[in-house]
Amino acid sequence: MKNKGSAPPAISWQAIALSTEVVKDHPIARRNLNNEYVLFRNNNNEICTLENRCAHRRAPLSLGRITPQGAIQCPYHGWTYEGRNGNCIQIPNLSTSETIPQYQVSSFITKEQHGLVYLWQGDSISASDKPPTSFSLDAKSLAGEGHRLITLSHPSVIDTLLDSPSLLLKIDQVTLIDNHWMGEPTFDGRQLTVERVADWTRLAKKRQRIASDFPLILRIQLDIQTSVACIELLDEQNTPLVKTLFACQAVTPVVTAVFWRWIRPTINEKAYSKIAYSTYKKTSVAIAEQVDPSALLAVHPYISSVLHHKIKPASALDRARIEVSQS
Amino acid sequence: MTVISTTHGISASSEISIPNKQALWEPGKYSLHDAWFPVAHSRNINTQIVRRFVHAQPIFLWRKGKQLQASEFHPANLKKQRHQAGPFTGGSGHYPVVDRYGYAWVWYGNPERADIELIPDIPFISSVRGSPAYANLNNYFHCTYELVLENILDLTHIDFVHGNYGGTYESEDDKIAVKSTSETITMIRTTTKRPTSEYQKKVLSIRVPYQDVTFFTHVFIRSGLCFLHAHYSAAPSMPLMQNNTPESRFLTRVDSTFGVEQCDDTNYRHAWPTTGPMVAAQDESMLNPQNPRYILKQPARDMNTRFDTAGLLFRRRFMSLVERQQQGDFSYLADTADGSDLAEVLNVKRLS
Repeated sequence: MKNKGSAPPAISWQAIALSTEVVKDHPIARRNLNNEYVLFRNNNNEICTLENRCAHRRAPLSLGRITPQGAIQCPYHGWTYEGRNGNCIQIPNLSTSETIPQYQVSSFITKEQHGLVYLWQGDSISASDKPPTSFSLDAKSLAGEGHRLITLSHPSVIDTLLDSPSLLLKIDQVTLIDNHWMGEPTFDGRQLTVERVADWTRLAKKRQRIASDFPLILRIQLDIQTSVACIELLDEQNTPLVKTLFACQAVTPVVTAVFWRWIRPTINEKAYSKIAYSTYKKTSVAIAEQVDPSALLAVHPYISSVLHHKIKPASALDRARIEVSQS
Repeated sequence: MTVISTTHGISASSEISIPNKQALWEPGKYSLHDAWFPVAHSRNINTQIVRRFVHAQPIFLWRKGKQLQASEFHPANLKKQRHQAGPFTGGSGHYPVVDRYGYAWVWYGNPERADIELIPDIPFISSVRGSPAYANLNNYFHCTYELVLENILDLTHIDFVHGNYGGTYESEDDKIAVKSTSETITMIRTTTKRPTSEYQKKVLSIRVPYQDVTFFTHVFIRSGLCFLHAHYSAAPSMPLMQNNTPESRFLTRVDSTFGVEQCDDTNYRHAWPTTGPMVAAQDESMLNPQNPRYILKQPARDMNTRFDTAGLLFRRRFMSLVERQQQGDFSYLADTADGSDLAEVLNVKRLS
């Protein structure tokens, strides 16, 4: 797999934090390939995102504090900025009779959706009113969430998720089978969907023969503009057992931030055996701390090749056609 | 029918010589339509919904009572999605499906042309009751199906990759005959004084050091279905039906059935099918790394030797079918009937 290290599409929403990470008490620092950011909540509970560099002597604002008024104060000389627009509203050393110069740090547009904070990567005029993703996640059923840095380029994280999800995605009680695809991926230019089989680990260990059919399906739907994926574990009735919202963002050319939130939707207990139901209740989702480089070398990049237009999706193949007969 | 024979690799009569400049071979680029695909063992379709694919076209299999059903959409969504039904189900959402020889046969193509007579007559499997469960095996090759068929028609790999099961290459005489129709390729290899394999010595207790062996391979180009058989002068043997269903360019599904009823040796009946996964793993070790070199790379020319005659014939026949289908001709030509008696082709007994 090539380590391309290139940036994700420039004009789009990019996940930058979990909603729960951004609080009123203290600011947090984030960065991507373009910039360094400081995030915090103001007194209206709105998320404020500013350039993480004081206009005065460039100190990181993220090392500062949130004032009782909900503004951010630089730790170096106390310059204070309003969170929504980045305007400097206080310079403590100035006397009350002095006018505060019209200083400003850059502010950025962010939006919260399904427990993730998204940063708009374009200019403010083109900021889309549309929600960052069309995927949904029922917050009431939230079972867990996480945020991790991985030593892998952003494109490589995406490619690994598509080509060999088991290297990244750890679903307790479940064995992912990377190379048993259900047909081929579909790709409409914005969203790529790929399905694979998966097995309950306790069954996988016991299987004496190669199985004809597997009890689970792992469906990954990736929005290529936002690098957000909806990852569902389904049973053969198409009932989602585990649903994960996965997002990633390039921090440096070789470090990627990964965010995930997952739910275990309520299922009809009576439709499952006791052991199947108790196994389902034990499932949990996490992202691997490290990706095994030798395993990565063994991956055939079929699905990512569709994404990168190196091969055509099956639906667009130069295949012999049959006439449509609806009679 | 085209017939080519080689003796120790010397072309005796050859309609197909190996040209210096061949057309580029691009496996995975085309899907051949209008064929029955044995997509699943019937016994695996009961209360559960089974998902299959042919050339990435989704197929859901289940039973309504005892009746097999095959649809384009999950049965729970069938009513809702029926309006999206495509040409493979004629807009109905349902594929033509037949339960025969222990398999669910699904028609991939224009459903109006689904002719049950096109399902091969298999002499060593009961059309009604199928086979015992131990005769059924599943396997997967992580490649496009054309590569599997080339592997099956490739003689020299057997001696190296499967030498422990079939014996090595040091035979006294080695004759190859390749026959073909517009739809099939048949290869018959006759060897004399071939060393008895390690498996035959140790597991089957065959004492003779050498045997005369005849291998039969019969391949259906459109569906990838193939039949294999080997006659050993001392060791027992049984025929094999191996579907090679092209689920995608990356995965070929194998739901095979051994013709156990052809063999009187009860121990061998049970022992030989257990070797299937190991033999398949030997092939997979080559096919898996081969596939991205065809699918993901720019088309390139392959070099060939005289031993590749059957594989090259397969490529040519395959591309002839592609050309015909691209021009809208999906018919089966008159030569399809030639050599369609599999009992004769494989030299096996017909089940009474």
